[in-house]
Amino acid sequence: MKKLDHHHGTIEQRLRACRLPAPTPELKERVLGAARNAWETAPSDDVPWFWPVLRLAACLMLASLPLIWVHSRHSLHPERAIIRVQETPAARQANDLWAMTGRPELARLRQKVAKPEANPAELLARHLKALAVEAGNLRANGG
Amino acid sequence: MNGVRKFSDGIDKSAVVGCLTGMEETTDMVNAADDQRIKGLLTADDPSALEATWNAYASDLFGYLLTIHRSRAEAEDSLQDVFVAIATKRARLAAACNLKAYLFRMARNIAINRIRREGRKREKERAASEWLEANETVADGDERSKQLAAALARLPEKQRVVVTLKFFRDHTFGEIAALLGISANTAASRLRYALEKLQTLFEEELQ
Repeated sequence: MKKLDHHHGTIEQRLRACRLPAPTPELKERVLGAARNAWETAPSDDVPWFWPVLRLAACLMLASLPLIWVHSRHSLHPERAIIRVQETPAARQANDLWAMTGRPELARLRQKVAKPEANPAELLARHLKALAVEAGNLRANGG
Repeated sequence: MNGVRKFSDGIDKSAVVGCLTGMEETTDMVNAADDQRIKGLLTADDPSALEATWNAYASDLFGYLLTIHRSRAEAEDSLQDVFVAIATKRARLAAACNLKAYLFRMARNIAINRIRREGRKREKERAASEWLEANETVADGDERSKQLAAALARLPEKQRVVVTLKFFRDHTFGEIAALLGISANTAASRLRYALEKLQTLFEEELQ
């Protein structure tokens, strides 16, 4: 590390022995002359006309982002129903959610797919009958 | 061990750091005052802004352009283009946050465009150009400056710029970072790599 620092010290000495030349007075005259000419001929404001329009458009886009977000949240949030439910007195009485939607095709579809509800007593009798048949089969097979 | 850290030679480190920080602050204040004055002139559409900009920043800009071009003639042409750009884009310049950094970026863009335009046409001229000068006090100064210029020319431009800003313009790492739009750590590491590379180049030369 000391060796490295020593080497860097030598390089620094070499660097310190030199300098960058300063601009000459002739160069100053030449450069400032050209710049003054450009100043007189160029308009004071070089901002293109479309910059303010672009800035306004960008501001409007930024301002519309929260509105888009709120709208999408309102329309797509899982808690919000896509189908608007209109609760009519008749539908409430029938306790039929599909009727509340006001969409007849959905109500018809529900009628098609819905199974008639069975009586619990009938279901029990059906199960008992099936068990008796199974027990008879077992007995016949010597089980 | 009374809470004051000292160097091996007994110098109070906190005093040195405080002194250095104070120097940086003073430089910043001078730059800020120059910037405000020039911006005021630019806003008022006063052509004396050009002279004020020259007095404040021409040496630094010329040194920066010399470092990029490695040719005095090209650096002079680019400096003229920079001042013409200052005149034509004065409204934008007046709105710049850091005027010096803005001017450095402008100078770099102009220099890079010139290099692209001219291509390899002026490569020979660049190699022969004496873009570094020797200090009067140094013996064999011309020979040394030629060697150093040749070695610096072999560094990547980014490293060369940091070396010249640090050693020939005495900028701090913070100032270099602000001017080039990099972090102070990056500036420091670029300088370290550059010094290591220069060392290797000089060793090769001796062998």
